[in-house]
Amino acid sequence: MISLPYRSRLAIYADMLRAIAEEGNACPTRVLQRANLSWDRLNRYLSDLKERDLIEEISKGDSKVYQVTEKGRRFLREFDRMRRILEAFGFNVI
Amino acid sequence: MLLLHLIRSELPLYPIQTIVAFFIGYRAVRFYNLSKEKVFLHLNIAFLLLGAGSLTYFLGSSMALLLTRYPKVLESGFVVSLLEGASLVLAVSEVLAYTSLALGYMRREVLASPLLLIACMMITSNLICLFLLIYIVMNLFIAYSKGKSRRTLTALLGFALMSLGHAFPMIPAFQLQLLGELLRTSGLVLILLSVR
Repeated sequence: MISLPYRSRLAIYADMLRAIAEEGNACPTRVLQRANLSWDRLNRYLSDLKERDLIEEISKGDSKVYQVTEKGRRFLREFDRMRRILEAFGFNVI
Repeated sequence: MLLLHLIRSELPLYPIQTIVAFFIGYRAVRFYNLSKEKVFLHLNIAFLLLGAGSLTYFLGSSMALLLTRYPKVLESGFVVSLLEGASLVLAVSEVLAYTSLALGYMRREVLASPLLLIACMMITSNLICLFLLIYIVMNLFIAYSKGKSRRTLTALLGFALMSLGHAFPMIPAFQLQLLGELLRTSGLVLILLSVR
């Protein structure tokens, strides 16, 4: 059995933000595929990102798309530093 | 006189500790604002407290040293009160800082033994700091053995040095006091390197 490397919550946020940023306006299915998440986790993390003002939801007729906010872009720029500090203090694996 | 000599020798190390601690604290609060991850808040509180404690001690001790030039002030006992005050602020801020950091690890439930922390709260300032630091070092050791990250190892060594830095001053010898401060400063610098 192949064991996948552990992905912290912040790493999942970053994967989702990257997926949305690269798509421009991303629908939930694209985010799900690109960030490799289940529907349950996708919905939970999408609300987390909205709550933290990292993405915004835009209604397009019946469907919804997501856009990365300025704060979200800053998050992506700073993510490597955040990851390093969490790794240094051991918070990435525990 | 010996006390003043000790303060004069260790005083230059406090600005370094202050700058390093404030730098890490500032970085942590920036990351907290971005991610709202509680861990960053714990890091921020811990390092801001360490920085504030070092700064207060540095300012208080520097002022006390300057005032020793005036015999009237020296006789009034103000210098001693100033040193006592600065040391108290430093001790309290260090205990609170390490508590905040240890709470950060407790939230992650790595070691299911918060009672260890409660028990050690009854002991004196350096001993409490030492207990909390050992707890932090143990968490880092577990994290390092799981992740094998060089950054974690650097931070682990940094906190280990800080633990020794709190152990040595419990032995009443001038050289060990100074060695303790040197170890704590080196520890902070290692922690800075680990987050660089």
